[in-house]
Amino acid sequence: MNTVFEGSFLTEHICETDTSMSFSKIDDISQYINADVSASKKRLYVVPTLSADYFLLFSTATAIVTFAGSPLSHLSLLAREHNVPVFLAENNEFSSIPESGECTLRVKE
Amino acid sequence: MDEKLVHNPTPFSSVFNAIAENASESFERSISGSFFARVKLEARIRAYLMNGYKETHEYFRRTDLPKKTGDTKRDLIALMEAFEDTYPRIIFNNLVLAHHVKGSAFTVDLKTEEDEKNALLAKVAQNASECSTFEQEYGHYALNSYEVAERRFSEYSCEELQNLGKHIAGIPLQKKPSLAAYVQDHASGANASLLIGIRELGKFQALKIVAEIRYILLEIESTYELERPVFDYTYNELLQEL
Repeated sequence: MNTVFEGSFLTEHICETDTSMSFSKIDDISQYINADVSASKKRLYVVPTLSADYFLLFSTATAIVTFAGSPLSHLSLLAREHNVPVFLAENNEFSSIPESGECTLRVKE
Repeated sequence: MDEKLVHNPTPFSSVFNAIAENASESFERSISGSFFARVKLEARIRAYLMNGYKETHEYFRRTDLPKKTGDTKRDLIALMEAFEDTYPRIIFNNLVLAHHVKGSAFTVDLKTEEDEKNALLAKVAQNASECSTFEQEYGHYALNSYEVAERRFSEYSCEELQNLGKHIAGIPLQKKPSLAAYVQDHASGANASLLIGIRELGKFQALKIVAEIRYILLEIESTYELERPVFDYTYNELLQEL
């Protein structure tokens, strides 16, 4: 099943849209902390907000999808500096997203 | 979904969301209020951009935590009042930032407290800095930092800090001037970088208050016979218990 995220990019740096990508959902960042970073494949992360804590994901993030935040959130600013695309999804709720799977980003007209 | 200060707060920490929301709503009422209210707010924003930001910067730089009296209830109330005084200043600074930027692109040309914290944490992971140095400077921070039930970094073991730091050790951190140096070089008028630097300095100060509140709550938990964990009480419920 492919989860479609509809919304817009909060960063100038963007990633592919309308293409299927693997994602992981991260709510509590501490679930990610004990991961072996060197072995991690880069992936798209789905997070509930743009908490600065999610900076810890940057070394393995191809993009971040969030459900709350703005271009002025600190994580947006860090993402712009580090060329990590941040996408604000408007059509789903974080709680309804599966833990992982395939997704497609679609920019809302 | 609105971005809340505390994600999934415990009953106690919901008070921080309430304080942040009240401050935001108060400014929003001015924005959508009468013509005169909007004019007054615009004037306040202009004054802040010209000079007012310096006062907020100094406030965040110099303000100490309230002195402890030894009376737990009084100390808790004093800390909460300090947070209620601090956080609306961060909100207003953010409002000015949004007004000033208005969707235009900009870069952050200084190192914020968040950047300094990340840089030091990366050094800890690389054994280039002592854990004790990090704990001294940024031990009052935490993951989900405004959630008072979350352990502060000063409560982490060195191994835990290094484990945390390894995730950012490989991320190149840009060399930029500190906020203090930037303020000195930009004597007149605030820009986006300054406002963001001040915002993060405000967070640095606000988290000192949150950390102290956490320590008082832990003390209450060990001293009082509570029916449930201390963080499961709202702020008002806990005051009634004391």
